Amino acid sequence: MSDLSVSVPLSTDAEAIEAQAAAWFVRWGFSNLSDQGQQEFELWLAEAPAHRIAYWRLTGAWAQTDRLTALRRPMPPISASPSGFFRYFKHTVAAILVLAISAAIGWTQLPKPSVQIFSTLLGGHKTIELSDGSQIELNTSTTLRVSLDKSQRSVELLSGEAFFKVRHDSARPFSVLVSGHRVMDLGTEFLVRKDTQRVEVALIQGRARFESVDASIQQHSAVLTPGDVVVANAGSMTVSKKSSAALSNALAWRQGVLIFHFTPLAEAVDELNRYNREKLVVADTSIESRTIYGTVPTNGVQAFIGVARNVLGLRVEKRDEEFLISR
Amino acid sequence: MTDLELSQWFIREVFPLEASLMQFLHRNWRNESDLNDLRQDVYVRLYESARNELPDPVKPFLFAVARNLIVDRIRKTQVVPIDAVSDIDTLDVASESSSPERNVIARDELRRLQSAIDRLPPRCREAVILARIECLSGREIATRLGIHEPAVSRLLERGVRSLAEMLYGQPPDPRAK
Repeated sequence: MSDLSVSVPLSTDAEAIEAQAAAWFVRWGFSNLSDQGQQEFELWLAEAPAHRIAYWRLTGAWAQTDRLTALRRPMPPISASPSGFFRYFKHTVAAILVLAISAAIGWTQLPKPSVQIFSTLLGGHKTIELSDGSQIELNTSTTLRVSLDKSQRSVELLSGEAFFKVRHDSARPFSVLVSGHRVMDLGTEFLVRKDTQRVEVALIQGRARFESVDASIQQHSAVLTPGDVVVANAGSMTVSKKSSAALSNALAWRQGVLIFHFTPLAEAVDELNRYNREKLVVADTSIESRTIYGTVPTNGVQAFIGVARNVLGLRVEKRDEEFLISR
Repeated sequence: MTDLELSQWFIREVFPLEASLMQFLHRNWRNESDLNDLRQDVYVRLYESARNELPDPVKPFLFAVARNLIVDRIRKTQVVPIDAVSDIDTLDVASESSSPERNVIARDELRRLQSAIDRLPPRCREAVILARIECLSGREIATRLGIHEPAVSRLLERGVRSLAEMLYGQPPDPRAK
């Protein structure tokens, strides 16, 4: 780009320092640092302000992730237990320094009793029972925050998909917040799914109100009855009616399977990829709209490949962690 | 000021301004590969002077430091293309004084955080989540992911660096969910 900056030798290499800071951050936080390692770490910190600042910066950023996670369970006690990130503290200056920072930014904060975070990893599936008798079933890669108090029950779906079976209580309304939208229970079973660009809510039983609550998105509201499926993004909302068969297909993950009913190949692949580390890729646009029919376990990548090869007559090649599907 | 106080001050007051600082540096220094070095030098200068006294308010001071640093760098070079410094003298630090990033409400921060985590490369995200949400040790994460411990360290190192970059260095993405 500019010929100006090329000729300016910079005094220090921020990239290298940041890499060192990250290495120390991970070593210190999460493996057993020997006394010698501990000393080296302190020397490194003492060596230059740039080292300390780079280290603080990573510490600060890492601590921010607490907002997603710290509420889920109490922080493990500070003990000599060698396992666990930041469970391991040593009696050294550096340890005290980090401890003090963590106290200042809330690492050691205990959760408020009524707020909990639940999550599943890739391919995970978990049912949680709330103290009010309601149930929430989390699908793959899902994180949600539950906050219960005397006057209301509120859940925020931060990512993924969940099925709600709500015990109705008019004195304690149950609401689910997702991407600036809210589902208000009027005695219901419903499914909420959050994707990057859109939100989908399917009402299975009972009634619920769906509305936007974020001023920055298009305002809309609708009362849903069984079979209604709402798809909303920041700009629009559509409600359509689905057959109970289609709805039960959408809920099949609760039984650990995916049901495809003349589903376009590209869509089926996207669906299966939500659950598995090994990803399928449709590498040929001409076959994207081929439809498939059948039931596959959520972890059934190999079964799916078998269907693609033997039933659809397609080619499947493995490249790294991906399977490329083509004609 | 002790380092302990300075560390907290940096985390609370300085790093949250980083997105604005990076935009400023980006506008006034054309070689992108230098930006992180410049940022580091700005922080070190800020650190040196904050050791004596914490500047208050931070923001105008931070930008004054950044501006001086750029002017110094330009002086040290023999050849200065005119357009390299197009707005160095008209730097409108005043307009930087409101700090939207400090006013964002908690929900937006949470969204931003989620989007930062979502944007991590998949393996890296898994390692970070296991370390952070599940509070697993290096060995446990290694077992869970079926890789060796050193590989877990690399993933976590990359994770924490990317998080710092996304949470501090980049302006909030208005479309982030």
